[in-house]
Parts: sequence; C-alpha cells; structure tokens
Amino acid sequence: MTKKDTIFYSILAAFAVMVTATIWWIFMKTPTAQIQAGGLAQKIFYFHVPVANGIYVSGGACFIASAWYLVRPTERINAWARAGSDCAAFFGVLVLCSGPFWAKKAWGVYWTWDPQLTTLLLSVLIYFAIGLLRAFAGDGAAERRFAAALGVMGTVNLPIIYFSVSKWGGNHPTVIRGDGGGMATSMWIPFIMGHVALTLLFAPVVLWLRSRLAFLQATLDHTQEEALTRGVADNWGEADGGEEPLPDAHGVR
Amino acid sequence: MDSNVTSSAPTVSPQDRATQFVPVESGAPEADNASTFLVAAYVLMWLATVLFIFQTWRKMRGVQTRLEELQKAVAKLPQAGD
Repeated sequence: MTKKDTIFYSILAAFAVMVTATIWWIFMKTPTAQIQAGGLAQKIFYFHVPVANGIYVSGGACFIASAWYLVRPTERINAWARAGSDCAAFFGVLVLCSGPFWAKKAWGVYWTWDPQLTTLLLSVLIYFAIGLLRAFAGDGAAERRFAAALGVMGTVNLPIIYFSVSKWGGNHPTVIRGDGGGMATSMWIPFIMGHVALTLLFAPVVLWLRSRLAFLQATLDHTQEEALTRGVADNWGEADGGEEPLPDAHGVR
Repeated sequence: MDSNVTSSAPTVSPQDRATQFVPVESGAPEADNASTFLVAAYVLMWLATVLFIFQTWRKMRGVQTRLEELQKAVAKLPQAGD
C-alpha cells in the first residue's frame, strides 16, 4: 500500500466513524426544533447544510483546476477540473434530495421558487451540463478548454447562492448568518460534527476518487491511441483469446 | 427519538377558532408526519451517496483492468524500428 493509499483509507475510516457518531448524536442527543422550523424534520438540517457546503468545496476545486487548466493544461489538472464538476453535481443532488422533505414540513410545499433554491438549481444544472459536455462531446483539447471555461463561469454562481438570502429574502432560514437568532449549543454540536464528516472528510475523499478515475480514463485513452498506432488493434482480441475488438478513444467498440 | 414538539397540539384560544374553512394548497403542513419526511430524506441521501461511490468504484475497476490488459498487449509488441 502506497503512502497516498494509507492517507486515503485513514480519511475514509475517520469519515465512517464521524458520520456514525453524528447520526447517533442527531437522533439521541439533539432536541427537536419548534414546529414552525419543521419540528422533527428540522433534523435534516444537520446533513443538509454540510452537503450544501460540499458544493462550495467541489465547485471551488472545479474553479481552481479549470482556471489552472486554461493557463497551463495538463492531464492531472484536467482530471481535477472534471472531478470538481462531477462532485459539485453530486452534492447538489444530495441537497435537492434532502431539502424538499424539510421544506414540505416547514413551509407546506416541496419546492418554491425561493432565490436560494432557484440559484442552487441553476448551479446544479450548470455542473450537470459540464458533465454531459465531457461525456458526449469527446475529450479533445477544444472540448476540454470549453468545459474548463464553463467550470470557471459556472462557479461564479456559487457566491450568488450564498448571498441570495440576504439580498433577495425568500423562505430560507437565516438562523446562523447575518442577524439570525442562532441556535442552542446542543444543536451546534451535531451541526459541527456533520461539517467535519461531510464537508471536511467526505468531500475531499470523493474529489480524490473522481480525479483518480478521470486520470485513469485519460491514461487509458492515450494508451489506446498508442496501441492503435502500433498495430495492437489487429491482434489484441486474439492475444486475449477473445473476439472483442479494441474500443476507440471514447470506449466505443 | 423525541417527538413531543411535533405531536403536541398547538395552543388555540377561543378567539383563534375557525370561522370558515379555506382550501390550502398542497395540504396543511400540520397534517404531514415529520418522522416520515426525516426518514425519507436520510434514506434518499444515503442511497444516492452509496450509488455514487459504487458507480465510481465500478468504473475505476473497469478502466484499471482494461488499462492493464492494453499495457500488456502493447508491451508484447516489438519496439518501433526493431
């Protein structure tokens, strides 16, 4: 096991311990909030906010790597830009999976065109668009640059999500920011634990996993190109004892 | 799990009593069961997480296997100019 693997598995183990402790704390120790805040459903908040912050972490990684790629394109940086947009879309889905249930209890509806919800949905759609572009438009230099530019432009929306509540109002709670009334200490504990588990431990783990996948995929594409130029395509299937033809650079057989 | 807050009836004074019935869009929030929403949100969120990790792991394994096979095949070839 390499040093990198050891660090990865250590973070993964810490995440598993932390997430178990957080869930236990939320259900066994944390008091229920007032009914106007959703009552028991308010406990969604302790994971909902940390995964929402996972979008900022992943979107930030996407922004830095995309901008870096536009200046100095390398395979490794492209992999990080791709991982950033993939993970931002994934965390966006988690927020959209959890939020509506809390909203239904607190506001009476699953969805409303609240400024923060609307801007979040826009960001998630942008990150999905980057993913679709990378998946279907090929992996050429021009497509990569376009995806990187979209990654930079798309991340501009992230601060808008955060400040939309103070700028445009809406239904979203303003408990822990601005002139919010705060919350009890017993509610801060699971909130911080959730952030340690999901934002500080889990977000880097999935980012690292996806960047590794993107890098391996690019290495496979290059090896396939090399194999094609050196004539492996003619005998690779037979050498393996199978009929399988060599896939092209995009995995199409 | 403490569900006292959600299960207790709201305090209503005689002045607050209903004098008419008005249809409410999407149903009154009080009629919804908070624990069902809580469980649904957690299940959906963790299901999405497990699926995402599993899909990433499966893809990675597939790419790694393919890469190793291809690298072996390339290594078997004589070097250019041989």
